Amino acid sequence: MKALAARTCPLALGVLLAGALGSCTGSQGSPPPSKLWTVEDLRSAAQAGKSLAGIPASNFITLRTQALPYLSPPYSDASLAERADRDGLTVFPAFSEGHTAAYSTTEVWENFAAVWVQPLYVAINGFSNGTPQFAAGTAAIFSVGTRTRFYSPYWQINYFVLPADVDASTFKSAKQVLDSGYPIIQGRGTLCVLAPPDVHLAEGSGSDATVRPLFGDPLPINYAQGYVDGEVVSYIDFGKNRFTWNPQNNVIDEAALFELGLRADDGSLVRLGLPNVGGTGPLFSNTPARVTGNLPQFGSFWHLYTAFIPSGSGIFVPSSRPALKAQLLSAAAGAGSTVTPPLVPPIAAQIEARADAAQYLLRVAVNPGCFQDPAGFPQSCRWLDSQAAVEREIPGTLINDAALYLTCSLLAYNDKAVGP
Amino acid sequence: MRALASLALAALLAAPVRAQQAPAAIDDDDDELLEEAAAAAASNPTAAPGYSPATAAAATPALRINGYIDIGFARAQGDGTSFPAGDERLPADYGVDTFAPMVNSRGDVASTNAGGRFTNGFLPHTVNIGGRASFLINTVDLDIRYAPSDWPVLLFARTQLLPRFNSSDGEGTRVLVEQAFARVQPFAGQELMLFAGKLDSVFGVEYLENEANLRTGVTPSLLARYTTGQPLGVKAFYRLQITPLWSAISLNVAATNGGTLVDTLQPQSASLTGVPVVSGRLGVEVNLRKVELKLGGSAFYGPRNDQHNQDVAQRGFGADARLILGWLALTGEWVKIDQFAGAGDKDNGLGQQTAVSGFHADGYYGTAALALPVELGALKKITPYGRYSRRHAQFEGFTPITVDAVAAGLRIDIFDSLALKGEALFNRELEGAPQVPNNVYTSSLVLSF
Repeated sequence: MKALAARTCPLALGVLLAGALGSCTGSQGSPPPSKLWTVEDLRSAAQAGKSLAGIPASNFITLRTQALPYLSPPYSDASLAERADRDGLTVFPAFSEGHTAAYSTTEVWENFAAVWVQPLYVAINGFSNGTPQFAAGTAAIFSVGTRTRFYSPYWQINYFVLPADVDASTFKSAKQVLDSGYPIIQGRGTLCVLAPPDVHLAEGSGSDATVRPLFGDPLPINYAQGYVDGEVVSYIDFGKNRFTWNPQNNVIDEAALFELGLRADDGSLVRLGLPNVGGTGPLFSNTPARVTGNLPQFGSFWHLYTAFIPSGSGIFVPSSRPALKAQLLSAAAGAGSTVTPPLVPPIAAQIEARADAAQYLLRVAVNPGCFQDPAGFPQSCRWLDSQAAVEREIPGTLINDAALYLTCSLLAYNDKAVGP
Repeated sequence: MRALASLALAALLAAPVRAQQAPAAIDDDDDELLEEAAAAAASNPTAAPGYSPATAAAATPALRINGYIDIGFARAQGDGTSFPAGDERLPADYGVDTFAPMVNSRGDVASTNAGGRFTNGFLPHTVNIGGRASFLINTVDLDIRYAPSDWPVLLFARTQLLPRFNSSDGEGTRVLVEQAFARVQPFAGQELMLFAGKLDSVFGVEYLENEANLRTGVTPSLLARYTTGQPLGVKAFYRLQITPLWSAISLNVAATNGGTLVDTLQPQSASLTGVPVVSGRLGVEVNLRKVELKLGGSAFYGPRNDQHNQDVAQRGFGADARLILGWLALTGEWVKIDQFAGAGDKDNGLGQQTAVSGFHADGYYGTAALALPVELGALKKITPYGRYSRRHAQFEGFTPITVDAVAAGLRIDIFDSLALKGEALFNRELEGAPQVPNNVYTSSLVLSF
């Protein structure tokens, strides 16, 4: 019996061992990548001519001296280049809640379940009438940098209260703050995007200002420096109260962002370069807009959806923009989409002459016959210019999750600039 | 003062019994030593094939049942965690060492309560006592072994009951099959052993002290989380004795589901990638009459078993050395581990998590124990011991942290079946991690049967 065991058992164990080592096939497939692109990553990808999630990185950022999209033909009469000493984050025209808006994309998350608010520390000497009294020499101390996928531009301000005789400028890391033992008081949320110092929002050559495409009004923004782990970092300050989060789990509240396009013959989305439509909450959630003054508390953290424009819809493009019309038609036809003419229908002269006609540029109406109804325009149009309208006019089966989250802080809302 | 009181209280619980067995080889046929085969492996740490009982001699019954009960009394500083007050960074477990406030030989900590903050699965098991002193049943262990006299086969199952309280579920007892394996020694006279099942790790030497009755002290080192898991798979051990030189060379290799990390960090009961993790240790030992020297080098490589992509790798390297000079035993081990970043499908022994973050750590520990034989009735041995361990670690993009820990304690062996241990564990945050009060004063009364 022992002899038999001596022969068979090692054989069996050998087979087991070989089987274990040789069973490296039959995988069920790798999970999709879970990626975060920060401003620095977007720039690197643009420099390398790469795409992310099928979107060219150069859509999000204009490298120095390159023509600024939406500030060059066919969106404007003359070409405007980005400054030679900086790269510029594209300012996109958009619609939200039935009005024009604008935003820049600063972070892209692909296949993330959630994004969390992180703490930011600021030294104060106390409060006066509820207003924090910032300690001399203090700077924002960010608790995480951009090299972790848990980086988030969504911060909750944590004020640490210093005695007046303590030098705030010596505090440069979260560890220093926590080790100091000074009282910490939680404050509001603030949207600060860590970015290389030579990346700003798009600025035309010879200019220090960012302007809104199609309208040209200035978009004020702050650039500043802070610290991560003792190292100086630059950031773009989009201001306080620009987002909300669930205090139970610190997850940022999302809002839907709709990219409108046509359906190609193969079922894919044909991108026309239309302004995206920003929502106020998760898809089909009927979340009311949270706005203080002209400061929306939504629209910083978007969940991107693609949506097919219903057949028979028309895009509002005045006859004074023939190049823009030609580009739209070319994009539609070139990608093999099924276009139900007219995609860009004629507009009544009285409507084109309206002082507010520019507000409707590139807006999509599912009943473009209203473009010939001067008496009823614009109320007679069923525009795709709000989350409610998109969800009402486009069947849910034609709205698809792009599995992307975007930081797209609204720079303009309700036809006006939003300031930090 | 409270710590001293805790230790004193634990000491009062003790009753005089027999001392621990003297060192012996794992394959010793002496019947008296069969019960303590694993203890022998630990106290005479040759390049043993792990904690596996010795082959039964013909005179011993084929079926045997053994075990131990580990009763603890512990108190941690602060709230029992390593989470500093006011630290709102997320994930909460990335910027601190959650494994530091250990209270028992399992590496369970006093608490992992992050105050509702999001964590991403870098946590140990917990006894949920927070910062309060508490009695504990650390482990109720039952070992069943079957060794037929006419086959060179041994079947072994180690089942453990772990009674724990937690605020959400109340009282509960987790049943853990810590080991379950078959072992074959195919060639008489050859130290070749083949294993299949849930096994001891083969990496380094600290796994030899996994069980409370075997560990000299109470708590494991800061590196134990990477080397002392009980993986599921197959293993082969071979040792070549070089008699003229009083030496031996040994090789221990395994192909397993989860590698050598503890189960909270990497599940062991299933392979999530379909590809095993390969691990091994090459050891050299010199066994003179009064001096024993053991040296080893270890490594593992394979896919991370806390995610599902077989291309996302992990690897580890280690070196260990042990020197026994009479009553004095010195042990040192260095460990380095790299885990590479994956997608968003982290899935470990604590359940589904989020991002598979890249992770890198290295560290070392050294222990010194002086086993003083004392023949005073039931009192057999008194062993003062100390351990220093240091760990440096960084999650992808997070602030790197460096922590260390000094453990100092006393073990008293009474009769053969009872050990009383008291330990003070001083944890320090040296770099990166915020300072936090997380020292631990703990004790353990281990009754073996």
